[in-house]
Amino acid sequence: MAADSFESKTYEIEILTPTIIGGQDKIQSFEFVREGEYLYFLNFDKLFEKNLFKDSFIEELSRGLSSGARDFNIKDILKKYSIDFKKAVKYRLRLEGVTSHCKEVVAFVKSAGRFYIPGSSLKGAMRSSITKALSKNLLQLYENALSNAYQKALNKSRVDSKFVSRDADEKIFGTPYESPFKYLKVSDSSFADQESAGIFEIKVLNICSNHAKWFSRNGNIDDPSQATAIVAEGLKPGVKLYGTIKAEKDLIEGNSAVKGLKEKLLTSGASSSPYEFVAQILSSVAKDYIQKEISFYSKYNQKQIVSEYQKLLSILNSLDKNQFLLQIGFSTGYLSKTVGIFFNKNHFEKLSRVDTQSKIYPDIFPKSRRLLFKDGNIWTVPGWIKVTIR
Amino acid sequence: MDVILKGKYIIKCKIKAVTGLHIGEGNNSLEIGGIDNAVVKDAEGKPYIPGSSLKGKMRSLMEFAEGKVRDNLLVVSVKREGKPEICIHMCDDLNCPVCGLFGRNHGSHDLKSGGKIDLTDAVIPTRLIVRDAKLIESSITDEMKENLDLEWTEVKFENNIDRITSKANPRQSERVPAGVQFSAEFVINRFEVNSKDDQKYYLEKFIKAMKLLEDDYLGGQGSRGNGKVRFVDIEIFYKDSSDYEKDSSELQPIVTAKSLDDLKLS
Ligand SMILES: [Zn+2]
Repeated sequence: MAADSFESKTYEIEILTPTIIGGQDKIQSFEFVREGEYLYFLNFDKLFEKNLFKDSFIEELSRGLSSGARDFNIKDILKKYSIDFKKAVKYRLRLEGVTSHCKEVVAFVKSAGRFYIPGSSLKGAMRSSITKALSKNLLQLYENALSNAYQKALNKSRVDSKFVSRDADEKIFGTPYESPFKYLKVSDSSFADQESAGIFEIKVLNICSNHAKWFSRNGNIDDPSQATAIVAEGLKPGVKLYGTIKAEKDLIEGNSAVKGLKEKLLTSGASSSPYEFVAQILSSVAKDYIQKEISFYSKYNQKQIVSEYQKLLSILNSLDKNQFLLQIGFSTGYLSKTVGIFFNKNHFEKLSRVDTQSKIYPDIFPKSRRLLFKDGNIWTVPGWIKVTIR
Repeated sequence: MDVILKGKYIIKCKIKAVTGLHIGEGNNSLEIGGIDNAVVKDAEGKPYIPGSSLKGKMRSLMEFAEGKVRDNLLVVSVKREGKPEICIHMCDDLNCPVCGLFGRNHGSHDLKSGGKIDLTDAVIPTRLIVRDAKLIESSITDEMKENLDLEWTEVKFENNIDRITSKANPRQSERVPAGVQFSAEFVINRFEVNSKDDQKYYLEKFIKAMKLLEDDYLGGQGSRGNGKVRFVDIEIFYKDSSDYEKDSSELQPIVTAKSLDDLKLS
């Protein structure tokens, strides 16, 4: 066995479009103060420790919190008691062209308060892409799993929408103990400093009777400026993070499914390292996906997004062998995370019976996309990163 | 077989968690108010790294690195439904670096390739002793501490996403955050076996195992981000067996190094 198979390599992530890895939490409106170009996130322990206030402040605060925080504004209360909140701030983030009111903020995942990209997110996105590159007869197993779940639903048996693909996953990759993905090890990334992160605004594009509309609480509307915004912590374009990655030989040779990938992709017969092999798969899947999205957005006349995707496509076309593009994280949508990119109307009809909680319109699914806005204008798509392995 | 203890190498160092570290309790019992997938903790409730976890991981990495993962060199350690489920390497070769350092079990074992092997005659006292690595509390800064979910640890959520419906199945697990350090100690017995002196052979092999661990991971969810560790502030001491007869004296390290990259045994 070659000695270098024990060595891990370094990965570099370059954020291409704002990337949001949602933690489990939403940050509530009483936990931050908006001032100028920043959101300041409060450290309540410090506020109390400093004992800067009277009992009535605490009363007012707890009344505000228990009332459901509807018209509650922490800034007013802090001002009323002349508390300098900047002395009790955990961190602050710049608002990146956010024009909407920040009611709550989707929190980025953190480790002991520090922003990072979990190895699990990176690996999960890689696995999802590799799955999309499988041969047709293996992808058929996902269609079968969907059909089985559909039959169950028709027979009024309970179907857990969290585990519809599990059967196919196991048939293709084996149990977790046998899975080739055991041989792909991706560490958590290094930490990002506060300047690398910002607050971003997302709105939901919805296709209604063949026209692009924007989701708002009062229904779908034409004017995006009136649409409902989701506000989230994210990493800024240009930011770079590092970690280690180890792709062992058995990732591409340990299982017949992945072995098939190798036969399918390595037409030249050149021997390729597991890293280059994985990069090649991911790039081809990304290319296919980007092209499909370009035709989607072209159809609905979204010029800005089409040009953003064309920029990504030109980056993709100039990558080295040790590089690939990937979309990760929050708001990246159904197609990015599933094998649904191969599904048609028939499949989505079945899916609508299997997953009754989601609104699934078989004629066009998914009919919505989450997009980033800047200064009130449509800006770009979330979550695209460039990965370089050295 | 004649085995004489010549002396002991004592390696003291810190183990730094470069990413979050999850070493599970091993049982799935859920204490009331506890969290799923808790990390192992000592009597004071502080997370630590059990010596057995370190030793087990280093052994399995060395088995691979020394070319010992072959069916005729593996014995079945756990069976399920009559089939081998977990195998480890054990052999009767007295010069085997894996068995020599990490030890062998007495008696007869089933080989993975079929047949049996009896190791009774090959068993000598284990050279490597791995102590539990204790948490260095000061490695958790005040700023980190303010942001932890629990006293010494955090809770990480992981989503398994269904490839057909895109529905997430979140699972939580407890982990020690990146940056935390533990104080570790390893002892390697230097023997003379049938008049052959180990010299530094097993010390060198042990350092190889440390390097292999730095390029792999320790504990759970290691292929998905956790468990990258580094050995830092390394000190190696040597105690000759004659030292044990003397009055105690200050022992000086024979080698010190900031990290494995700087470590030279000369
Ligand atoms: Zn052996």
